[in-house]
Amino acid sequence: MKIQSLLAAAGWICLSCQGIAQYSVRLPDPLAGLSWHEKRELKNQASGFFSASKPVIAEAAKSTVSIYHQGGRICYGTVIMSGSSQQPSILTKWSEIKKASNRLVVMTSEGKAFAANLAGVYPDHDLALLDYDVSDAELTPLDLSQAAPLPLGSFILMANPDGNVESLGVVSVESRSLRDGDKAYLGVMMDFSNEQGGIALREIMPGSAAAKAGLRAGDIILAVDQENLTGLMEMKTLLQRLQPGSEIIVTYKRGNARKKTKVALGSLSENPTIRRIPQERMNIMERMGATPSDIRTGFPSVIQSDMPIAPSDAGAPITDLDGKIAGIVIARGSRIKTYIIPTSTIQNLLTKAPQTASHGSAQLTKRGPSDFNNQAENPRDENPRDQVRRLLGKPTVTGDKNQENIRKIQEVLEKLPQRHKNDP
Amino acid sequence: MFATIFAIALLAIQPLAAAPSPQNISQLKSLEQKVTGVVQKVLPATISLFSTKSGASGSGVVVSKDGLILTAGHVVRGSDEMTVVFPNGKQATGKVLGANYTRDTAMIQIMDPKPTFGWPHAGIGKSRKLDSGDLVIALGHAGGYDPVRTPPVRFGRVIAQGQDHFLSTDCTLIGGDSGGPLFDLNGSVVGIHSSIGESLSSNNHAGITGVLQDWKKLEKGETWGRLGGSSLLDNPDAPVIGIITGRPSKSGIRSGISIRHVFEGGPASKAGLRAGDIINNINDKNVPDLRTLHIVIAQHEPGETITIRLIRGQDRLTRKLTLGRRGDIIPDEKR
Repeated sequence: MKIQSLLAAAGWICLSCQGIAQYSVRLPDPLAGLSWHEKRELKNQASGFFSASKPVIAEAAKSTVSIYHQGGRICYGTVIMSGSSQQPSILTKWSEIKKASNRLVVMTSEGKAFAANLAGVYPDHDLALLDYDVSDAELTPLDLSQAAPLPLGSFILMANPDGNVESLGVVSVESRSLRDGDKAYLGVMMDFSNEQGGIALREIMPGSAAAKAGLRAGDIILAVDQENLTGLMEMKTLLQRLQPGSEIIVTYKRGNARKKTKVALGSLSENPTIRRIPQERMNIMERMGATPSDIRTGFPSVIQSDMPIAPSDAGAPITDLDGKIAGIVIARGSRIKTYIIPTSTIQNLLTKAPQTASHGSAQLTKRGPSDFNNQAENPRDENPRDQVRRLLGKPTVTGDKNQENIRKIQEVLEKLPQRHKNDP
Repeated sequence: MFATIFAIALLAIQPLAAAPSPQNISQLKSLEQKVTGVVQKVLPATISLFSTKSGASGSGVVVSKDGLILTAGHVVRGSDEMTVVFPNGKQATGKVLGANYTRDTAMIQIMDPKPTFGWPHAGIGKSRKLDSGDLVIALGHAGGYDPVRTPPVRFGRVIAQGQDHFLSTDCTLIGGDSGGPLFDLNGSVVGIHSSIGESLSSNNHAGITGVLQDWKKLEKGETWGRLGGSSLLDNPDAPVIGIITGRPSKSGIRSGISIRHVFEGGPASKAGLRAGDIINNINDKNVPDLRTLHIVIAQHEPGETITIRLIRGQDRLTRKLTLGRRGDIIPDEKR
């Protein structure tokens, strides 16, 4: 649930993977058919969830900041203690602020605005660390030591700097890697059926773990680590839950002989030809009722939630019902999912020094949409006075902030040193 | 809960229970406990289904220890057998029993020998009395079976009851979820995922009450009804003959599927088929029921030519028909 629910009406689409259509029948939105009373009940119910959970996020909200660029909020940030600098810093989504160069204005939960600079990045996680002058604001870093693993279905809350619960969801999928390089890879093409009493190997990829272990096309895999297999999917499940480099004992049949071999598993990323096929129709559905983030794949460790967010909500902290920090929002994945970097991963990360932005850039562009490269890293920076003039002409530009906030942002911008167009 | 005099007064006019909503943290926590408990209990019964022959795929839920599966009608269409994959990767073979396309529901029976303690399964609930605001949990193999994760959990509430026992919720669904289960807070199946609309509140499920009414027919293997709106929503690249089917005609060697309507300019129309004709046989295979008809057609590609034997009154006719593409038959519904 999100504070403001989306009420757009449209056509309906079938959900079968293959049976997804670009053709749809016009049917009314279910909300449109409700009586005034029913709609009010649903709204009250949602408010009930938000107000009941509000006290829980109070602490997290105090360490949440809004990040502005050119007068609009581009994302949130979470105040943490940087392990490398031993200074409070702000953690946020790199790809969202990347477009904004260094001309970032941060606003605290108390409405204080100040300038922040990019200190470094963790490109795999699409996280950026922002430095600020600690005399500008007294911010309390979040306590990341309290996190406990959350079982599937646990309620999680997203804090915003106003002290409100911005969004609410459940843990949909436990923490996992979305990187192919983290998935173990045997290097075989397998038959779907196990009609031959096992999984028949159709093809062995040259140089793969299977080839090195002496497996050949035509071999029939009977068991892995003494466990008999029911088919291809069980084999895949088993492999993908193992780490690259781990060893398995494969029992197989060659002709009439029953044999065993030890296989040291490779990594899926070693074979660039194996990729999931992008599905045109899935792409349509992913965007129904949702705006996915530009960078939304390849994270080394994320919790998946059904929590609805906007791409500009990235960087905000997530708590459980005890107020403990569950992680930081990193991306809207699709209609059904939001990705959160778990606290333990962040804790781990913060013990390492971040990379420089120029070093991490290449990694990020590989994961973005095809036009991500063309989004200038330093979009034409206006001089602050022009910016103020433009902002005055568009007082509602921030959407969720008032005139007072805009004025504060302008003040910070005016104090920033003038930059030349050709600044790096 | 929080019934005030004002609310009671309203209830007198509007016979609606207030949507359940937690009032404080401890109520939220006990609700959370219910949700995590249900998920732990029913997740192993939430299965993925696919057929390498028809290319169909979706989700389903095992509802008996003997391995009876409920899924969506549009998931089984064109398949007589489907591969069942449990969240731990274990595979089994499922035989498609019956389907009610109108309610977009179907039944499958696992054919493999039952494990000692039976198949993991969920209980059946009631959907008739579910109301706007009732809390529900959706599971399903979103995007297809994925070995690196369990089927994603989604939590939400009933938005509205629809026609013919359909209901809509704000548990967000996507491709691959079709046929997956919607649970109440007791962990009983109350719905089967069917379709989505543009908004996050447009997630539609076939209510379990409809399935219960059809239970015996489905179990016996009967296939009937029409994928109402959804018939247009299937794979646009699927092969079609361009008709609306009528009742099966059961009279010995003259049995087959009657044609209720022929789409003008479509493949059947071009091949000279007419409303009232009975499709008796396709490519030397008898088509005594709707399911067989779908299976036979699903084995071909659009553009391929099939031989149809028809019964028209007292006459027997043979026609060559070039299969069309579903997406081309319904040009007005383009998004």
